[in-house]
Amino acid sequence: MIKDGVALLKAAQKLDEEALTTIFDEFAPAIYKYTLRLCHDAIVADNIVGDVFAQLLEQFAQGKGPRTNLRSYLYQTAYHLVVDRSRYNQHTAPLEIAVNMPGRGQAAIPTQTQIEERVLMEGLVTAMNSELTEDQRHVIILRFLEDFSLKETAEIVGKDVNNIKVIQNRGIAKLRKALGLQMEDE
Amino acid sequence: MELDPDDNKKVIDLLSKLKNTGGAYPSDILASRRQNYLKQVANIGLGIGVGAGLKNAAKGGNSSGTIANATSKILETALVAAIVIEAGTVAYLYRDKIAEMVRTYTNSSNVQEVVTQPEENVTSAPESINLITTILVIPSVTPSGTPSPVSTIANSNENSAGLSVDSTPSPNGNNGNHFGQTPKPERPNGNNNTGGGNGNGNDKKP
Repeated sequence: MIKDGVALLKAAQKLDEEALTTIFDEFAPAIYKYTLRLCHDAIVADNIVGDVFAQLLEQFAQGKGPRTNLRSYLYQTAYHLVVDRSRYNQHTAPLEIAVNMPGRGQAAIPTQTQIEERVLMEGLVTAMNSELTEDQRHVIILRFLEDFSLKETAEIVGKDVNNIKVIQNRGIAKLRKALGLQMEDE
Repeated sequence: MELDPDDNKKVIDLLSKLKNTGGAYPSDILASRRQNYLKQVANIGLGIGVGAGLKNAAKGGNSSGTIANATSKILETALVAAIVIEAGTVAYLYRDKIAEMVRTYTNSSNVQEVVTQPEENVTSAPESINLITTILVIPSVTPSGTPSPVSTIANSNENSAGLSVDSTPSPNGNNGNHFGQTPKPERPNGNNNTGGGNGNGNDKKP
């Protein structure tokens, strides 16, 4: 099992089957989750995962593909595919899918704290979907849900690092305001 | 529970919790996707490719593709060389026929080009030649008298060889001059003065 990232990438460039399988096992669930957050459609997210790894194989077969940061490359490919499918802003998934919270039919009785936290999380997801712009939501997802650095986020989105900082701060300010208003309403 | 407007930490913490609660990849769908992906990887290993882009996999540098490329290039070169040699041999063997054919073709094309113009010149040439001879023949006759144009034309048409024109008859010593044959006028007797006056020779000045 190849664990080192650089060795894994080099082996994958030589079309090593083990390395390619390892890459899929390591990144496919994360790409799926990221894509689901962007497009809110489980089927589309699954298809995009398939397309991302098919493109990766094509690139390796042509002697191209990522040289350094495989993870950023996969997320960038997924983002472009989501944009190409033009379903970025057209679908809204149920919160149970997006947040993976327990459904209403489940018998577990939550505590007061759990209820407050769930309401807060639902408010956060709603605010992300309704209050933020496309860029702000994407940057927030990459920075805080996928743990990409500013530089990596800038590469994936295709913008300057300073621009990413501005987008991120404005997005957080909007979320803070939305959550504060929601709390005042309750 | 109220959020501090100056502190973004709470929002970031919530986002971090949201990170852990993302939708998981359904296991059955993931297994199916993984199986499909492994097939694609196997196809690449065999050099078949997974899609249109993988058609170029052979050019990417794996050994079987390189060998196939080299073989195809060698065969292509050999085929081109064989065609060239065969064409050269055939041309050498039938060079006479080819040359004749080319000559025939070039000659026939020349005749077609030249024939139309000269024919007009040739047809008009004899007339002009006749006119010239006619004009040249006429001065060769040396008429003794003034020829009439009608008789000249008639004679030139009838007998061009022995042309005889009636001339003025010989004068027989009479050249037509009649010097000294004019009779002298008679003078009157009593008056020989040739000048004016009364003619009696007695004219005197007053």
